[in-house]
Amino acid sequence: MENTHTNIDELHEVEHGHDAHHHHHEDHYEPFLTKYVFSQDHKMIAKQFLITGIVWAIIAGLMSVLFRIQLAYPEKVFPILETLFGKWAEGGQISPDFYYQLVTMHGTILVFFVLTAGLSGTFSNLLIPLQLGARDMASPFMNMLSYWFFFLSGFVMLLSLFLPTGAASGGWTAYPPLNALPFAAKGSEAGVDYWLISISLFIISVLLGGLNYIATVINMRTKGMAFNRMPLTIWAFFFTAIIALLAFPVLLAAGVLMLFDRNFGTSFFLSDIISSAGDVMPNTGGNPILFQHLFWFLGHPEVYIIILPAMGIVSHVLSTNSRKPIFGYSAMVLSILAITIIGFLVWAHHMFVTGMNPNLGLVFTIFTLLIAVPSAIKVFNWITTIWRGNIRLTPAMLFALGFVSLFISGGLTGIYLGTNFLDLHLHDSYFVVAHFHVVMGVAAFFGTFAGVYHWFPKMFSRFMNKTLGNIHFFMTFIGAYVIFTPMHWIGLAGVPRRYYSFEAFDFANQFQSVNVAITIGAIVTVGAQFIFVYNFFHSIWNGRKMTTKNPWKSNSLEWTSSIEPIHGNWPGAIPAVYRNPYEYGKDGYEYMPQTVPVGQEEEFSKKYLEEEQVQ
Amino acid sequence: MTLTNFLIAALAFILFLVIMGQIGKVSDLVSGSSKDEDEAYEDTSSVNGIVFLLVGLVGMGLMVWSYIAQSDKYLPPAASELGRDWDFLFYVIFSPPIILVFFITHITLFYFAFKYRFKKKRKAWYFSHSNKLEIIWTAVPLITMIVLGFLTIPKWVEATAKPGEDALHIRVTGHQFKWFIAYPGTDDVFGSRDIRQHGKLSNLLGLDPEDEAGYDDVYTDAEIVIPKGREISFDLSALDVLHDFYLPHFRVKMDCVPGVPTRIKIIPDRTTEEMREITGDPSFEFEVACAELCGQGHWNMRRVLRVVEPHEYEAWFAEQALAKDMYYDNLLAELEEERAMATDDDHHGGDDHNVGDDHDAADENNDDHGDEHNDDDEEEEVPTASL
Repeated sequence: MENTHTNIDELHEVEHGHDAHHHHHEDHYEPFLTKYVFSQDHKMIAKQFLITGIVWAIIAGLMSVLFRIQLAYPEKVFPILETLFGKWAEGGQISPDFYYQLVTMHGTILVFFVLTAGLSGTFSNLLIPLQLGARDMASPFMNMLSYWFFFLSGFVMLLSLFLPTGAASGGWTAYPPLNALPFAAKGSEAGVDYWLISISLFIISVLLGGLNYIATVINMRTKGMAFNRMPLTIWAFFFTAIIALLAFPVLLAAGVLMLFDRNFGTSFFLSDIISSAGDVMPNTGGNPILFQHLFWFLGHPEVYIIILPAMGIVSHVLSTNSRKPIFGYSAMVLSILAITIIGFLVWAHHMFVTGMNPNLGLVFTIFTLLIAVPSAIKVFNWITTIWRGNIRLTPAMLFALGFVSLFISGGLTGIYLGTNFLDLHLHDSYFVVAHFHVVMGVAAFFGTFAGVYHWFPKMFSRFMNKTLGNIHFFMTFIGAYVIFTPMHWIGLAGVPRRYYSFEAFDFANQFQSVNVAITIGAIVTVGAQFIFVYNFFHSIWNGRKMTTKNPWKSNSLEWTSSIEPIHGNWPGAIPAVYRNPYEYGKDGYEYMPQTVPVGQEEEFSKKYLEEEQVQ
Repeated sequence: MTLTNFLIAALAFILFLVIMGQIGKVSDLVSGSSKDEDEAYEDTSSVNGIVFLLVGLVGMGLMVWSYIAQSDKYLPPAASELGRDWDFLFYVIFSPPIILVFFITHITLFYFAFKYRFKKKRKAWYFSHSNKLEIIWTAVPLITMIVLGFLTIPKWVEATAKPGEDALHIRVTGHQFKWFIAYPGTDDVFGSRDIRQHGKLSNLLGLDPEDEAGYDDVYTDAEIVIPKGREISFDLSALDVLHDFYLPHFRVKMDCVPGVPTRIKIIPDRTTEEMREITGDPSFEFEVACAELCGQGHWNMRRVLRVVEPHEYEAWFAEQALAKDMYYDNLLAELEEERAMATDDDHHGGDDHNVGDDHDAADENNDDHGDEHNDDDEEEEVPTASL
């Protein structure tokens, strides 16, 4: 009984009640180096992942502005570009080599550094211990290594941008032979070696992190935190880590084989090649399509590595802010499981037109269409979750709703693309560009933003400004559709992706005005992200202070930890868990934290009402 | 963009950030004032709810408008039966349910967010699960997917089936950044080729100079001419990197892979002339594009495909120069020369492999291993030839 009281007290402890502990904690002075740099605290590592991700996102976003300028104004001269980029933009026009480097780096950075590390790395680290009631990760040291391998990987990638021959320019998928033959493109000289090394380091980072997430989820749940009481965020991070653990090593293997092909004369992916200078390569017996199989065995699960955490965050935010339980908790968990399993059986839908056996194409079409089913279940459950709720339209909630919209829009176009016969025309067209940007690019960003706005108080004990959050949301939401809606019909009209200019083709060159509109949309949307960046960094130091532990009146465990983040998360004993994470509005109680024992609802609620009156 | 323009843009951007910063400060002050939490939620939710609904409805309207407004730029009806099947499946079979789902889900999403926006007095309805609903929205998508999937299977099988006996084979070889196009001669057999054995600057395709089957082949650097009504099989390969032979007006594409033969086939049933009438565009051409990133010239691998009546095709074909005159005679001459040199070398110094010294600049690019290989083969073949 006594224990229970403490729990309830702590839930609504206000600032002054907390100060005593705070001062006490400051006695343990932690040196800067271990507190902010080589930190082993999961919350600090989460912040490191997030801020590194934001920096990379700004770089990759600005890259997209550059290549969009080329697509909108292929004839115009911008002397400033030559000032900034020298030989890559000679005469004030972006050169084809530079264009393809920008496109490649934009994709690589966003897929791996931002939406894998920045999203999964941030929120898995922040939330797994906090929502499960653990003091830290299973191995804090490995967790620190995970971040620093990521940092190192980013450093190598950054270096490659300054190579005299430029960064890799063969697309983020790094298909050989283009990326295996130094003579095939400027970027394929040293750039691809750097790319492969960077990605290998990145994979090490992901594996170290993933092992830790899995171990923590399985072993370190607090008393009462049964699997079926875990928030959906944790389920999502858990399956994401499993996918990453199974899929990423395959990419590592592919990358190493490619390094061998490039540097040590092996022929895994090369056969019968002659350069335009008449050089005959000695390689024989390799198959470039093998690389694609290896790549997409990671590459397709990779999109689920990106989108599942976003789904988990969105489920959690939607439920909390609708003041309603997530609809169909078990169905949500099972659909994540289904996506995890089927996600490993669909990789070759990226390869329908590589000349692989057409019967194989049939199998992959069927599995691809099947994966629409768990996705549809999730969407319908989200919509039912907000139905007849009491919806607090905070910035986090808006981004969660925006995520649902984007996931529907992008998911539906996936049905066309997953069908092999329709893919014959749509493959590698702008339709694909629109599809994946909407469904896993922008949507995952929306999931990230929802998470940042929602858990910012947990990270920095302050709030982000919500007016700026609202403006940021509406500009980004409108901007995303302005940019990607036209790309659907451009793609339907057959315009291939990764074109430096459309002027060579009659059928592709009729969308000049549309391309200008898209580019303006992209510039405005990227510009709008600086509202977020400003809001984020400004609020770290100047945001409104968090005065109660549980500002969103959320049920989950992270809001019972101390307001100021401390190493170990809970100053006293780790709270025990007595109920499911989404008991909002049950039996007439507005919300019911997981820490309230069954039978104590009345007492908790009274306490809560009293406090309301005091405020 | 001059420097001044750039500076103006930069200033505008800074101004924008400053304004945002001020908005932030003001709104912090306002929300810091005495209002209770629920009232604050009520305020933001009603503003955001209305804006969200408006953005959603207007946005969907604009989306529909944009699809219609741009419809004149879509591709004309496909020029093959299978291509028109593609159009039918895309627009008539797949799109209606997909568009329906899009609108239903979006309208409910925007409407619910608006209708159930936070009100202090509103109580959320506790509704945690319903097996009936879950079963409905598992079964309906499942059945829809299966139906859609099975409807396309016959078309996929048709598109990827082996070409018929009387198909016209055209050999397409992708190379940075152009297409080599070859027709088999009257014997219907292409000259055999092997890049590792015969490849060099003057023979990028690696044609075997002594394979007489290739002598009557036809190579063209201009338009690819094909007859209407006949099955055309494009036999694809690549010399350096991946390319992709894409025929937007027939709704098909297929990768060209070094070392792995692939193919794509079409049965064109509309000539270029007929398409010009249909589209009302006197300059209409069927275009071939590359659809797999192949380097810095990827965007510029254009070739015109001209579909003509069969008799026009016969006439065109008869006018084409034969490969023997275009390539093989030169290759044979070079081969003679090399052999002569090889015998010379043998005579003078046996195993001296520095033959590159005597070769022209192009051959110097060959690595030693390649040269050695060639020489060996030739030495084996010489006695056979002399027999």
